[in-house]
Amino acid sequence: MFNKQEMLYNLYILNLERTTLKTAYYTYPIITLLLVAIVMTTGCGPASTSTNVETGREQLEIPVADETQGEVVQTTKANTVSLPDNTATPDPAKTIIKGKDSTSLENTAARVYDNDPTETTNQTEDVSGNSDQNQVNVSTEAASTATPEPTNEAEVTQKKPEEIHDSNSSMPVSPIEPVVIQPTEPPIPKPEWPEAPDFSLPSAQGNQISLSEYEGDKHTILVFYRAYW
Amino acid sequence: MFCKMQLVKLQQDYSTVDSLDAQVLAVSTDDLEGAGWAVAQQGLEFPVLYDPEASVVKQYGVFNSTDEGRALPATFVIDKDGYVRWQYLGKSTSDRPANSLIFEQLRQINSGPKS
Repeated sequence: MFNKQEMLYNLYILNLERTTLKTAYYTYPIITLLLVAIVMTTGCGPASTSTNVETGREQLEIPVADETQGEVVQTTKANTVSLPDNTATPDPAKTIIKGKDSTSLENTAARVYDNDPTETTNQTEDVSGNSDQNQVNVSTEAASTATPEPTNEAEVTQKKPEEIHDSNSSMPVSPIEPVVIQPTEPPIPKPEWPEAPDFSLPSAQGNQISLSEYEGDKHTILVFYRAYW
Repeated sequence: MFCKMQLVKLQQDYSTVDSLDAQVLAVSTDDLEGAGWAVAQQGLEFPVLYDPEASVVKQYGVFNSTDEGRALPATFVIDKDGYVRWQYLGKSTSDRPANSLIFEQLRQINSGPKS
């Protein structure tokens, strides 16, 4: 017999299916449109055009680009190496600001440039010493942490023109490119007709037959067929 | 007209093929039993070649990857100097060039300047 609860449950599920179908019907096109819009706006535009313009050059510029990248990497390495020097310079500033307690300054230096978990222990040590110095230390820490960052940004801004100059410097290298392309081009403009690749295959008559046997003797009608059609 | 029928028709007109200073090579990826059957049944005089690895089929760019790696129906006319002078790529299995088309090309090659 009918059970009311089952009926209601079935109706509920039907309604759920309808709603899901409706939502899917309306949302899927919107999602696809959004995806297409995102791809059109972000991915495809200028990058694809730039690559299309220089498709012929890409193969040849790869080594040059690698060299430039290597140079860029080297510059970044040099900059990263220089970072500790810049971070080390704030230390005398600290000493000038305080000048009195060298031990606490060393502790702050340890805080800033060593691992983070040690900070709590150092702070507790400082708390045992003086509370005012701690406040000053915090301000110097903020200054010391703040000072390297703008230097980084400045270095980044300095890097960008360097990269541009590298790319520009790679452009004069381009006259080498046609020299590399030329050996690859001659096969494309073939002399009037393409050469038929030679082959040697066993025949059903039991012989090994090659195309070059007939060269200079007869034209050949080469038919690719299937036996079972 | 099926591919095998093309071979039969070429066999029927083999006198004209010979008169045009040409010969026929048939290539198939099907096994030699089928090819041998075709040769024996149809009395083919020209060599029927077996290309089990489809290497030649791929060399000539008529490899059909969708059809179990079989060859596409195709006909090439190669002159004495080894140049491909004419090719006919069938769009379907029954799309084969008539003999008259092939003979016309051979006549053009014979009448034209030698490469």
